[in-house]
Amino acid sequence: MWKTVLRRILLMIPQIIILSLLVFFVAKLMPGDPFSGKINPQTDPKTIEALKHQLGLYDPPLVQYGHWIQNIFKGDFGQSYTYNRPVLGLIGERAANTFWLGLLTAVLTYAVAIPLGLIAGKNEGKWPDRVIAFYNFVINSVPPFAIYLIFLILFSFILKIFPSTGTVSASAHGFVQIFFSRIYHMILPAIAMMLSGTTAIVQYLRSGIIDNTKEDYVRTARAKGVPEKVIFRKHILRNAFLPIASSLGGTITGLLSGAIVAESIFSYPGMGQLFLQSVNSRDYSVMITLTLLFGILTLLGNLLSDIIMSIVDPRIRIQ
Amino acid sequence: MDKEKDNVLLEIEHLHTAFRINGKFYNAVDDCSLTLRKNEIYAIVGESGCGKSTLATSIVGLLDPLNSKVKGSIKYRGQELVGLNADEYDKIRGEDIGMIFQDPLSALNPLMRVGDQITEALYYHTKDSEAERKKKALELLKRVGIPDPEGTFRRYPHELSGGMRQRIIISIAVACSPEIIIADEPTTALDVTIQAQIIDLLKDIQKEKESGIIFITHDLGVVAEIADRVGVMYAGQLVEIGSVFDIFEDPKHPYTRSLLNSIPQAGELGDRLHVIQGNVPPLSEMKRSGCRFAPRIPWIPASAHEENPSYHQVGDGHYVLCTCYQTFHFQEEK
Repeated sequence: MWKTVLRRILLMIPQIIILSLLVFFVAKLMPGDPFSGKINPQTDPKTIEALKHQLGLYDPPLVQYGHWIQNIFKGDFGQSYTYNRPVLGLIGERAANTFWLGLLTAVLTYAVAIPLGLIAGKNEGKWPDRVIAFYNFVINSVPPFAIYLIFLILFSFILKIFPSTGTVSASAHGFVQIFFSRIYHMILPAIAMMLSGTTAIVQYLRSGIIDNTKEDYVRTARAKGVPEKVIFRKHILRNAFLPIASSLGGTITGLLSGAIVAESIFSYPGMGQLFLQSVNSRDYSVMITLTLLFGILTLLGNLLSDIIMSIVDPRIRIQ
Repeated sequence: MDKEKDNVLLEIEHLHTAFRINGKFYNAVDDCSLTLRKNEIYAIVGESGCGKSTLATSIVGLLDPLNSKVKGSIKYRGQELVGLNADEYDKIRGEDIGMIFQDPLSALNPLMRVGDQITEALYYHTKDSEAERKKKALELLKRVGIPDPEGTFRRYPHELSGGMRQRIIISIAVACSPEIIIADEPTTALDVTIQAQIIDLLKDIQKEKESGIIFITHDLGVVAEIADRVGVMYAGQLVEIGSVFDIFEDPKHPYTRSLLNSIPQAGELGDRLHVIQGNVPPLSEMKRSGCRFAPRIPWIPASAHEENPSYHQVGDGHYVLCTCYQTFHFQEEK
């Protein structure tokens, strides 16, 4: 199996090359340049032109791409025009913030979605199921950015329970204080992101339980005289969890795309916020590197899904 | 007399099983009575939708309690099964009554090793240790003709063929040596050569354990091969009951005769196959009075049928429902 995993990883290389080409040229196709709207109107246009030449913005795109790839192999992902510092260090800082936010969101999502799915599936058609269906309906109907805005306005500005910006308060000292201050800063965006993450899992689990209860092998277990509680735990639940296990890898993609919007709205300095900023300011090297990184993470997520599936479902074997 | 009583394993009397369709209950099994004795294979034969599987599931209490109702009496060695709760039924299912299902592809849990699915039955009905359970399971696998018991014990269902899986299901059903085995179309999903093997296996196991088998099927060929007694079922009723010889040599009820007439015969090349007109009516549209087979033999005058069909004894242990059998002839016979 691990040989296959290695082969899959090697197969990612052409995928990543195609992705890099696509990302690079689409980025260059965008109107405007890093100087649009950023420079004092009194600046001599000749100075700007000189700067553009210096940055290689007038070279043919293919040459620019070649330079970029060459530099990557030297470990240089370029400079952020906006922040005036190497891209790699900048992203590294932000990636840690996004990682912790993503982890907290994922933990919260499963902690909420699994009990809800269990309750809904076990009480098909009864009032708990209907209440949960209503919750799913509402959350699914409201676009995530609206949920984030409502949360921000309600909890940060009106109720003033949670901070509206940052990752840690300046007054926090020592490990414990900083740890809790970080969580305190993450909790609002994490809960807001969690809400939209739960609906699919709840629905998968609910229908998994309902469908599997009607399966023939459950009838076989009943005919063996296995008590109903054991049938639920040992037979139905394990099968009902399969689709959730397979969606685990996909949550990485979901969390990243959620982070782009959520971090911007909650002014949380992570990769998502950085990405949106870099797009708006045509900060090419940051934008391209982040898109590539998101792409690679998505590919890895898919691979992770396949590995998880092959572990939990004996019918699926990677070979 | 006592010996006779000892021999009776299962006594079903006036069984009615109803399903809820759009809020109303309709009987899928309508007043069925039968007696299963030790060492006996009782075949129940009929078209799809006649209620034979419902009858089987009623016996083991595996119907959805919310959408079905069971009335009448099912006695296992004198113990009433109708009205038992799930816990009480769990003690009987698997231990006293084993069940074999139609589709071996879906009747096993895809995520569990087959060995564990066999020992699971033993776990709830015996006090055996894990090692003893495994030993028994291996013996069972060998008994049902699995070539490599040790290896198969550790396999998952998808790694086995349909015939092998049906053997596994049989080994689960007989794991605790139940006195009664209910086989619901156990050979329908298998190809003919495997069918024959499975039937032989069931017959051998039945002889060995002296158990009684209720064998549900729509295949008259299988009935002829396996059954001692036969109940022919139509629209929820047993229209004719008799020994396998009665049914095949001296069929009485128009439905039984039509069924037998529909079997293709070798040597009658070019002849049109006999077809029974119409279909088994859907549950909600079935007429509840008079002879239920009457609409499918419209050339027989209404006066030939009874208004309230009753059983008529036509031989030793041979019963027919309704009087229409006396004047019945096939349409082409005139």
